[in-house]
Amino acid sequence: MAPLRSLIVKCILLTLLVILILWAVLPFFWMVSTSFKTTEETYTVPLVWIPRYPTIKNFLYVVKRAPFLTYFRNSVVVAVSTTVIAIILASLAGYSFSRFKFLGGHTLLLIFLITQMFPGALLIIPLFQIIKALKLLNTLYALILSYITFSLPLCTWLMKGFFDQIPQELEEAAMIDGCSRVSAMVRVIFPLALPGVMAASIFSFIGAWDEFIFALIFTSTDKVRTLPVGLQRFITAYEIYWNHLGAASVLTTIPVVILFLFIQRHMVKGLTAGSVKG
Amino acid sequence: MSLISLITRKFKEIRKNRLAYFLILPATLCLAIVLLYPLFRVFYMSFFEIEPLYHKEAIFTGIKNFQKILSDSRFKGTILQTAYWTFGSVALQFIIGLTAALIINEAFWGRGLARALLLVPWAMPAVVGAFSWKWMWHGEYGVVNHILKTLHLIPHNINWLGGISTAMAAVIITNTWRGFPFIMIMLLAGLQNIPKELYDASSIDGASVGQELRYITLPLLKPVILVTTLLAGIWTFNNFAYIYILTGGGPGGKTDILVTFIYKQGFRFFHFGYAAALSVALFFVVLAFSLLYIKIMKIESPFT
Repeated sequence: MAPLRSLIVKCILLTLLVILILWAVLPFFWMVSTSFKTTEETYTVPLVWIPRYPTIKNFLYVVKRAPFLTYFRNSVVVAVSTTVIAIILASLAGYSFSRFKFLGGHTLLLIFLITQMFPGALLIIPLFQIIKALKLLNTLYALILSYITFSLPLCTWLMKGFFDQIPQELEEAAMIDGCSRVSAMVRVIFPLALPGVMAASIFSFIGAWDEFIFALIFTSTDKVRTLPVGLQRFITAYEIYWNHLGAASVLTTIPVVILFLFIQRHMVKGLTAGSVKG
Repeated sequence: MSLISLITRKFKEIRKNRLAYFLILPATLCLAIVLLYPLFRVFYMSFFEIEPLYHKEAIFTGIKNFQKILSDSRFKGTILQTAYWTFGSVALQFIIGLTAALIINEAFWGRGLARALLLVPWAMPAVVGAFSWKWMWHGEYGVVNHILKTLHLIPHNINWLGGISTAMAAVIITNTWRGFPFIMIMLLAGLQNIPKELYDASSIDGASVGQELRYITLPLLKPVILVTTLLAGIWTFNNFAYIYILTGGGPGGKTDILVTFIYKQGFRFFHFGYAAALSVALFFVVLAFSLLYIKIMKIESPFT
């Protein structure tokens, strides 16, 4: 939009922006603030915005007493396995969709697109029975298998998009130089698609880290619960100590924040590379 | 003759591209086992009475489950609530997302920081966001009541998530908070693609800010708006965790949406057959959404 003309409009917009930002960060701020409060301070009226007697007791409690570390470990195992396997499968499929025109390819790609919109709740009834029949109920395998499948469509589309941008001549050149198609794919094309791998990894990792409904249905003991459902346990199994839940929430957020900081560097690189051309 | 030659030709084509099929095989297998087979099964199950609490075997009952859906008054309520939840959330997300995008699109000091802060709801793990809000809506120690009372907007504490008239509004506001950054980022990308010359020309012609918004910005953003609001709609429609964590569908089923309703029928009351029939209904809604999405992507997509 053209430069806004009057000062009044600017002031209104600035106020609006400040309110929006406060609203956006308030929940996180409040959770962090609560996580450093003593139990007495958590339940005082009027509220205390910043803890007067900050304590790390909540974090110690969560790490030592609650099965939080087990949830955390399960989440890491599930999210990492999901990401690694999904990326390998999606890269192969994405490469195939990008480079070959084959019978049924277009239809299959559309099916991949549509399945991306399926809610987990659509399939919980039969999946529960299938997982039970496979004797995978209450194992991390059940979660990994379903998370891989649910992240595959998006990852495949992303990888296809990235492969499309890499000129076909590159692997043709490699093949003339004596590479087989497969080794051209592995040695020349995959390294170039690394930014795509990063993007797809993040989607699949965060998807697995956040997933709720399958985790709720496929797991029933603390040994195999992941964080999203584990946090819910703080509310039902223990009395609700919001300061403990706050500490657990903060710890759950940390890996995602690290991931975001890590990608942002790559994202910025990708964006600037694009804008120079434009 | 021609049929046979057609088949052999197709067969040759498949043979020539066998590497292509080999490469998509693992991904396709995963999808077939975890998505497509269960999908067929859910259709099959919907014609049976499956009540593991009462009898072991599934009893074929034809379309009885579907008749039950039509006469279930709770289902009707759920459909209405799903509509409120989906359209309410997306409308608010769009208005706030657009406002934020328009402001952030201006050049000002601290813009990068403002954008990063506005992305916080989206960057936080979804479940953590839901729990934070559940704590904020708390009837006694909730920060929402505290702020509203300080501003003299409400006289006494309100039990937001437990009240029949307030619960839906509370969950919609929570979901709006979660979803608006995505719309903002997409619209921002769209705004940056609009040529500056258009605004220069319109300001020479004496157009007001409102006119520029109406005749330049919004029409040119239309493709991005369509795609992003549709995606936001699908995600909201499918969002199980937020309702489950915040209210569990309560009070009295007043915030149940289709996906939580199915979950309850299946895993709280163990009416597996009925839940399967509900899933079939859900499938057709999702399919309609998806086809609409594909159509829009084809015609209007800025990406293809």
